[in-house]
Amino acid sequence: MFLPRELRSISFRVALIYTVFFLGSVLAILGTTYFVASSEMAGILRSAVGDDMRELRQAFRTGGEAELRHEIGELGERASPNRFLLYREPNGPLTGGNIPADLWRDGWAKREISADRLGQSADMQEAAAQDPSHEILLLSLGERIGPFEIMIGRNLHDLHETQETILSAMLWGGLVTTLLALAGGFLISVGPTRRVDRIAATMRRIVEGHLDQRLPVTGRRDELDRLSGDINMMLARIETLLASLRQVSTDIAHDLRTPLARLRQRLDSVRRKQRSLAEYEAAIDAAIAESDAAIETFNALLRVAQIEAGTRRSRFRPLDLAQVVEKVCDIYAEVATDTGHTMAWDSVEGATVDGDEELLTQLLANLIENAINHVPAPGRIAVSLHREGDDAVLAVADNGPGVPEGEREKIFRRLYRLDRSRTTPGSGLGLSLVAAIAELHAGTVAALDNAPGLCVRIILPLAGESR
Amino acid sequence: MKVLIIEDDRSTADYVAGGLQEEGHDSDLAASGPMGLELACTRDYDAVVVDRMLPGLDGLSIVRALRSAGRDTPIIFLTSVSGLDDRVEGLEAGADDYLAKPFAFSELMARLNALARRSPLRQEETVLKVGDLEMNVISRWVKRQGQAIDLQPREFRLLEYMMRNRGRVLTRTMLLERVWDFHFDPKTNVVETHVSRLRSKVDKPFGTEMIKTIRGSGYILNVPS
Repeated sequence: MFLPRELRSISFRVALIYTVFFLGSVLAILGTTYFVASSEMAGILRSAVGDDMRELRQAFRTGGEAELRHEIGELGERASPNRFLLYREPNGPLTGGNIPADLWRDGWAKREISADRLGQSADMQEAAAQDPSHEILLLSLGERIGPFEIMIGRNLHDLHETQETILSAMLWGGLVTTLLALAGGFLISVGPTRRVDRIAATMRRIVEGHLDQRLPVTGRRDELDRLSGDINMMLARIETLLASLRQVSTDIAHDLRTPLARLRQRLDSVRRKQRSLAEYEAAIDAAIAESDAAIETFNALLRVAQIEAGTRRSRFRPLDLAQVVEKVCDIYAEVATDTGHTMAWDSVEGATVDGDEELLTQLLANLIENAINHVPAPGRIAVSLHREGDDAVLAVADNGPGVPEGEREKIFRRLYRLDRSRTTPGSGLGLSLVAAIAELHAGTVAALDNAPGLCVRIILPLAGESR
Repeated sequence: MKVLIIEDDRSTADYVAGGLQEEGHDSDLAASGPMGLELACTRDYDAVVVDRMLPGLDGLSIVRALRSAGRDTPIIFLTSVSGLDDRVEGLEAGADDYLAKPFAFSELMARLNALARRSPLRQEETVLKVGDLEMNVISRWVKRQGQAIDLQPREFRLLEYMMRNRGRVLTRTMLLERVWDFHFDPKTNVVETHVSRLRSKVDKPFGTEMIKTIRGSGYILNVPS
């Protein structure tokens, strides 16, 4: 079934459910009022009729027929368009009161009397005239007392009118309630529906490939805002992952084509003419080294991508970064000595972080190797670790040539190599791996000027209990 | 030795089998999981090389089945499924070692040699002796020709690993994993530097070489010839 979007919205549905409840409440209240008021008024009228009749019986019991006649006279005088009386002698000539004699009925009776049956009774005609259908709803009690047949009656018209008033109040009340609730529901749902529409439109743009789009957040901090916020975080994550995926594909295509092409050229040149056994062996060794380098680049790219995807968080545990620093520095101190560098790590204080020891070991090893490979001997490499508020700050500083200011951000990109580093060993993935590992640990990495040299600062949040 | 190769990729299987044959070892080939498990259960092998992704039954299940059947043949996973979690899972299933594809045959051979004939229930020796080189693992002393040699903790670990695997080629990757706990390939001569330091303490003063470099493969510690 086709319905406008606002009418299919959750807010509208909720409003509709409330309408039904509200309508039910209104009908229950008015219905109860109706029944209570009707039965109360009917009771009052019945007891008034009963009282009149009791007085007549009492008069007959105490004073006989004379008293009864006197009392009938009294009642006759009180007769009005609302109070009716009929008395007659079944075997006598006397008939009186303001009810036509042919309307006599023994016992309790409730009848609709149409205008044409009212005869000469002015009171009854007047009463009938007040009714839109020109009828009288007569409640009567007829009894024989002494020689008389007496019938006392009341017009139930007022009761009827009250009932109708309440009924129409119920009808209109229900109708107005329904309309108000529906209109209210519609109005209430317009806002959220528009917001949902905007969210849906943004989503469609995202599906079309605009991954940089984000869902609108109004700042009201309501459910939709919270949901949008969470979805935005998810989108940011997906965007990062996709960018990483695209980057990996590009990197693989670009970076692995070169060594493979080189490998092919070498094999091709060896193949072209007869060579000595030693030459063949050398060519095979070179080919193996070339393919090893390609495989290593490939592995490093996959490793960066895997780390960026965040799947390793499952292996996190609280560990003292100082132990990692001691271990790695201890291992590399002799390597540095062999290459003519000096290494110092005397400024290390304990700092417990939540992390993956294998990866943090690699992070520090990469930074130290970077310094060893890019700082000409005799260079100095200083590793330090200290706490700063809720963070652990790990720094690897050297006194080498440093990195020009404009390039410091770029050195963490995959396969980015400074022109002068093209001749040094490495795939250009070491620092992007460092950045990926730092990010996985909810940390940041920055390249700073060490004047002279480069200082790479890693800031990692301390584990909860050590803050 | 006799090695069972459970590998569905024909070219890898032939590469391994060919290499083993050149080294003078026998091998049986199983191209599916169920067939590999049957061979491993019914025949005696010195080592099993198994891939993880196999038709019919995966490598992990084969290893678990063999271990729960009480067979303690050394098993090495040879697979391209080589994330950290995968390695841990493989070793926890009961494998003794794990080698990621692509691999060099020399690496696989070295690892197989290190695994083969290793009695799984053997008490770890606390005193190691190779020729005139002695090590007490508990008291942490090393002597050669009766002279004490002072080693750094990591040098001690390196020498201990070499002495426990005397006569076997130990590749650079094996040393990095077992001695340094490095699961990546350093861009500097970490292994070479430390091995040469160790040599300067263990070999140089005594004039005979026990730690030899096997070009393109790794290192080996042997009684000096």
